[in-house]
Amino acid sequence: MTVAADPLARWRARAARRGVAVLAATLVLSCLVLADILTGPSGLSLAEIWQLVLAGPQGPDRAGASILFQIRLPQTAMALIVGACLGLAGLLMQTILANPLASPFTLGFSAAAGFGAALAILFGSALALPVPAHFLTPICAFLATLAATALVWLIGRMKGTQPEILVLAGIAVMFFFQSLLSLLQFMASPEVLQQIVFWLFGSLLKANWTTVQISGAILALCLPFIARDVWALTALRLGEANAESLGLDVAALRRRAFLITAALTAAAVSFTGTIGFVGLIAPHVARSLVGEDHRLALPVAAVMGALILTSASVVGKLLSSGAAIPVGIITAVAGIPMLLAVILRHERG
Amino acid sequence: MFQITGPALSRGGAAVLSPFAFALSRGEMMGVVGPNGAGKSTLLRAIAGLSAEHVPVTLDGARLGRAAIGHLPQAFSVHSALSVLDCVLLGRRERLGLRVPPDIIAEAEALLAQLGLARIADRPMTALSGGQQQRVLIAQRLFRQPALMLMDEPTSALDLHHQLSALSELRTYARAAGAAVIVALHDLTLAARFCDRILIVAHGGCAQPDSPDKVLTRQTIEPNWTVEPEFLRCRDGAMVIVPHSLGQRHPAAK
Repeated sequence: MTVAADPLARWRARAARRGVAVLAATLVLSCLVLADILTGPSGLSLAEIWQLVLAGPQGPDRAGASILFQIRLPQTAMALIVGACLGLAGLLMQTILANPLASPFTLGFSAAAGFGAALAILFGSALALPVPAHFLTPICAFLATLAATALVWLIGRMKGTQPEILVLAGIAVMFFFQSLLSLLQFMASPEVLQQIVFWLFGSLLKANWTTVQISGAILALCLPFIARDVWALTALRLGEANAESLGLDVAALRRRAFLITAALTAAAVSFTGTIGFVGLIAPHVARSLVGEDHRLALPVAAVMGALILTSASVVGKLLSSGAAIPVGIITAVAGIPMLLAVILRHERG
Repeated sequence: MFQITGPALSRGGAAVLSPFAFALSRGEMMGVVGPNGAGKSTLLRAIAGLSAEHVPVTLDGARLGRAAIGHLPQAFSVHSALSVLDCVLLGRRERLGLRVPPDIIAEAEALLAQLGLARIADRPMTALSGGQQQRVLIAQRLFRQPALMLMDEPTSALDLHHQLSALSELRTYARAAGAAVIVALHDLTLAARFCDRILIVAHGGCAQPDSPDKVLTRQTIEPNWTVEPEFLRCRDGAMVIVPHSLGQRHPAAK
């Protein structure tokens, strides 16, 4: 019996270690949040930041309060929300499509958002729609993301929403929207082209409390639906045939997860622009830390997404003391070696 | 009493089985045998509610929901790094919340110990052999505690010892839980030894199930499997069926 008890004790110890990993990741994220708030061209020290926090948004130091409450805090909050959205969306995608390279970026959702944004930047002023000008771009990006999701789903449905068909449809949709985006860039004047390119960089500079609230509300709305399906998603890791035989309606689960992924991706990229690799890398890091139990893997993917984006924000500000390098560029550059590591790790099995 | 009544079944657009109806008692283990492609897996999938055709299953007149029917598919390859214990816990996924109660974990641990799987409880599924994976998936289905258990060739990857122990566990489960087990098997000797009744699926139809002695005869085996059976008896009286190619059986054995 002692021989039999050892593996069970090890299983319990591993479950406890996973809990510690979640806490450690959250702690590292908290430190990075603090670093992000402290970093910036105005050079505010920790003591100054603390004084500004105590004084509040209406404190005597108007310039300092404005920097902290109107620039740094919204940007940090946006990094947390966008990172969490992309991490969750990436893990959902990889689970329902049984593909380690699936992510909102590789399935064309981000390309569609870019196209929507470019469309708004190029033709928005001419249309004279009853929408505030600064909201037209994110609204168009949001709608284009949802349209791309619908397109991928409808193509996949023709073949019974099989994972490989959905992945191929996603790749086709990505190239389709990238081509349309190139066409719009070709048509644009140099000034408009510059605006489009800046949007595509993916930057937290566009963040303000309104966009934080909108993205945060979409994330909060999605969380209960994700929580409801944690066991079903874990069961799907055993393979579709096994999951079905366990009484799981796999098609319905895929439909729900696809819809949530679309909402999370749209919430993330509409207000910040295209941010690649976070949705691809964060799920892999999460699984390597806590395994495939989605009760832990999903929250850790969210934390890792937030951690990657907050790190990128800090690095972007440290590398360029004047104007911060957009996080989209940092994640793209850092994401390539990470992607190679994922591929090599997957090859080794 | 379980009543299973189904329409004609098809696979990939081709007709496989004509309409069927049969009953099972609580505590019964029924074997489904037949040559390759006869429709055994199609029949089990349809009863499990996994095919386009609707096959109503009733227990004592009341409709049995999909959650009360357990099914282990023939293709069982698992490419997940989930641990064995986590995998078994998934058998009751509908009843689990974000926190798994300690008594459920203890129950899963006890089942693993009972099935001789406790020593690999913490191993990832990807680190197991095909036979070990199959044993874990059988454990998962037993942990699910369905009223009707459908097992599609559950011994296909198992060694001789584990073939006997797996079928014995399934029969014990049926008896103890008042459930019914339908198991598709290729080995007619195992089917005769462990199953209370046998259902032959062949030539597009299901025969009426009956006791192994009545169903597994030269008249049913020769035309359906195209082999010449030799019937032997063990010391305990259990039937052993040795297949020979038609016309090539050793004269001394006749």
